[in-house]
Amino acid sequence: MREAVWERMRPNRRPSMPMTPEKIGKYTVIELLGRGGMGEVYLGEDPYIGRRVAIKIIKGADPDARDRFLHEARVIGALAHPAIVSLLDFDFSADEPFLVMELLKGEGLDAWLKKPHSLPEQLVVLTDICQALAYAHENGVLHRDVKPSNVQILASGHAKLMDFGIARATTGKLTATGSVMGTPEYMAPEILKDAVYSPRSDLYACAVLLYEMFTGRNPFAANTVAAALTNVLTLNPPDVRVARPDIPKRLAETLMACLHKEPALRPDGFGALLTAAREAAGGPPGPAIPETRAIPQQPASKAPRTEARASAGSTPPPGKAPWLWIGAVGVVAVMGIVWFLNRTPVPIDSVVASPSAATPATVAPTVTASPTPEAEPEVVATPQPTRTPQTKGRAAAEPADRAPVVAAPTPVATPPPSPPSSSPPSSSMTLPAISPTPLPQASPLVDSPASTPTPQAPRPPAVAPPTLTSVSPRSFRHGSSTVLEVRGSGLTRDLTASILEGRRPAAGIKVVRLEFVGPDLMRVTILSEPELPLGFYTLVFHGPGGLVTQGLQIEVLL
Amino acid sequence: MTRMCRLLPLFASVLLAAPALRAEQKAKDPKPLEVAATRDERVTVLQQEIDRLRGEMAALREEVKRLRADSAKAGDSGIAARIEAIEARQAKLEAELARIAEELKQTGDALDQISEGDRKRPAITVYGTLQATKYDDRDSIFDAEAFEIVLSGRPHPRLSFFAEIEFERAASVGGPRGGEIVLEQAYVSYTFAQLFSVRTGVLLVPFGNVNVDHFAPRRDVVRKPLVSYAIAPSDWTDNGVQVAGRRLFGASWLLEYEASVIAGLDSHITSAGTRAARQPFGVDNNGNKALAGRFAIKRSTSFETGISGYTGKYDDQNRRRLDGWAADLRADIRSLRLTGEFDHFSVDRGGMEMSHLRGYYVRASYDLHGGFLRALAKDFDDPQLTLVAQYDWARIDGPNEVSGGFERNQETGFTLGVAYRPSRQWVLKVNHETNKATNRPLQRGEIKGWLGSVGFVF
Repeated sequence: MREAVWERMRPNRRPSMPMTPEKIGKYTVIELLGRGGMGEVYLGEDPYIGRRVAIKIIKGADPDARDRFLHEARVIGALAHPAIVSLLDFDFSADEPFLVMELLKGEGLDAWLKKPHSLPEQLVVLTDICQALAYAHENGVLHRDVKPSNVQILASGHAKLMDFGIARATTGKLTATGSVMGTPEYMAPEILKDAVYSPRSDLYACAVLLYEMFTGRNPFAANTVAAALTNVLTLNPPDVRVARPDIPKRLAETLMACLHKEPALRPDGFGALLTAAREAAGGPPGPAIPETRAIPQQPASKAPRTEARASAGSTPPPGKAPWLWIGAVGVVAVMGIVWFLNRTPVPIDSVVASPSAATPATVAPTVTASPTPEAEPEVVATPQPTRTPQTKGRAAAEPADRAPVVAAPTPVATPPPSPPSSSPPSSSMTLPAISPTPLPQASPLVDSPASTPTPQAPRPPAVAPPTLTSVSPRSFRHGSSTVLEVRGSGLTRDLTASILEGRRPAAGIKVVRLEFVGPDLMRVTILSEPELPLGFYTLVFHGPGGLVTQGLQIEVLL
Repeated sequence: MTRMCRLLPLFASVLLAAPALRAEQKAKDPKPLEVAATRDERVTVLQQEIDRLRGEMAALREEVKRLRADSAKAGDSGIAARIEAIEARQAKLEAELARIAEELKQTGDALDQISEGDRKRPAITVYGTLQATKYDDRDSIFDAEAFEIVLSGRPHPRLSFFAEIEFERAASVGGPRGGEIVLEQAYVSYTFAQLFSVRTGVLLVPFGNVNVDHFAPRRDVVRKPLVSYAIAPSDWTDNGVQVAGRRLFGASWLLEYEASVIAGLDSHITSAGTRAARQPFGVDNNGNKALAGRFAIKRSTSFETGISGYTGKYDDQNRRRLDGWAADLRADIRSLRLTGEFDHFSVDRGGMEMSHLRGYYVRASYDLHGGFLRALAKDFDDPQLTLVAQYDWARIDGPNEVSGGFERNQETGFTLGVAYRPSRQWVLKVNHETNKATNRPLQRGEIKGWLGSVGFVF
């Protein structure tokens, strides 16, 4: 990492900050979707087949980060399931390794949950998630961070599981001990007590997620991490049917069993949930639940990457060759249509690649790919995604096939929206890139809705530095006054700007005027002298308290 | 209560570890530029974190003490062990933070030194053009017209230099293959303020926009306008001293001036123009120094207009005056760019009639972007195709330098062409010229043909 820092800071005549590369591997880079602490995610396009993809690269030479990146790629690469985000390509040989993931159209489950959905729609999601996790477990992979922001709902209504950044591949016994990782509200009690992960801890997290999906609130959510942990350890959530009496009894019972504090008393695997969901699909009125997808029974390395759309047990019997041919022709036709559609720019509203590094608020479009490589401390509580609230009217008016596309990491956290009363905010335990704001005082150990409120200092929102996405023009002539339009998010009136030459303030070129147009646009007038050395300079913004944005490279030409 | 006591260490470790790890992780994953720009602030933030952590630890100790007293299991060795572990972790974290702070400081110092060293190093830019011409009834020619090295630097905030060395026509100086090497510009500048700086050395004479902006790859046509050959002898550089300044008004209006004291042109002014009157460097044919200056108004990069003036005595006896002025304009109206310059010189010919040299060019360029151009140059961000038309006119009225008889020599030119720029670094131009001359030709004569060129700037 130090070498990378060094390289990025090499002054003048070389880019002081990375700009969007034109190509990554064979992929044409269309735009930066997000930038995290150690990685970046780009919207890219395969030049040969025109497919749009999410490309995640890791910056720097930190061997730990590279190892985690490789680990993530291996985990996802070993899994081929229609309900798990697909790894399309990976290159670890480059200076900046990258992995290429499918670009997912849709929205995060956390956003999806904020809108009303019918039970059949929810059962489809349940089935997909459970099948994905069951498949991962069958192939020796524990997800370890199942939560709504790690599930993407596609325009078709199906769900895809993503973010295997802290997943753990196990050998033989599917139980792992070690560091505590995950998101407090979704951590199973045994993780908190003994740091033991097992398929049942993933099942538990899945059950919490499903409970939240059915009832609209996380049963263990609290205002502080400590309170959430207390709830996880002590609180027994009310029966899901209290809030959703329309849920069939068996499904409700199975779900509540999955939430048992004692792992041994939870169902073994996802079979019970899937069975209950299938039964429930026939129960309530309304459209029938779509066919579930079969869980591949073969090892991941040999698993076909194509989607098995038939419901369990409905595999066509041998000898029905004509139907196979028709199916094959149909698949080819669908692939052709998809390929054609992907050639044209997708009307992307939001992109998600990895919930661990949410895309800046105004950096739409978004796509979902996979987690940003972050340092792996001994204890990490992943924050709830701080995603841009979507415009309700638009979301409602948006046809299904124009659903937002999710793709990538969240380099800079945006202030979370005000939590709805039914859904208390999740406590965040990570900081934005720079947080000059003093941290809050120690939180009380217990703070749950059921407990007596303890006086505490309010937790101020962390100050997120503005995110800069582009500058136009990027190059201009020496000896000129030039008005640059800087686009980004979180821009404020109290920002100042400066131009650096390497690490030093540049001489002979300066910002002479700054015009705040809006939180996503700033106009910067730059004056350069005729004798100004030609080459690259860096434009940065400064905020109160030493807050500094990332730099934008500008070039001074003849 | 017992259960809560058992859980207490867990909560404590989570509460302590989380913010600490945030700080630790911040230090582990420094954002290069942010660290670069706010190293001290970041260290301060880290220090604040550790201070806060210490405070929190103290509060926690108190809380544990109270709970111990209250709890029947106050002597639980497990709790004590956990607390010790937490304290050990805090100590480790403090050591780590101290190490990070020191590392930040050392890294910052080293990078500061590199930046300082790099600032004193000149930046190098090169540009050049290769031409191909095929005029009617003449042989086609390939011409490595120019390769130029531009050096620029600012070793001190007030001191800067700018130099431009031209290798013309694959120069082999002193050999049989022609060409030349010219130091087109080489001056040092001392900046007192934006409004006033002093330059000295080999200077571009501030006269007209062609001469001031003489970088060939930036032009939309292959050849320089006729007026800059016959009337104002570009590239017109001279030894001397110059004062220059600029002032910004509003968001984007910039006023600029340049005023030079130079050796000036000499007596080789002919009925074909002033081009032969540029003196060798380090030579002055008379004691008189010429004054040349230009005042320009610019609006960002989309508009520029300037007026220029020149006055000085040109003959060896230091008696005859040469006075001139020029007006130039460049304006971008959406994709249309209009450029032009008008020059006029009056030459005192002693006992003969005054000579008047006049000329102008007007050029209209229309830029096309996107669409098929992107398909044509997929590897480039913003390819541009420029359609260009230019009209040239120049006339010299005055006595013939040999016969003494009055002459009116006039030449016009019309150029149509395209300039394709896949990027700002590379340009391909194709022009068709039609030139007409009345009486004696000024530069091109009665000729028409095709010209092509490849220009580059790196």
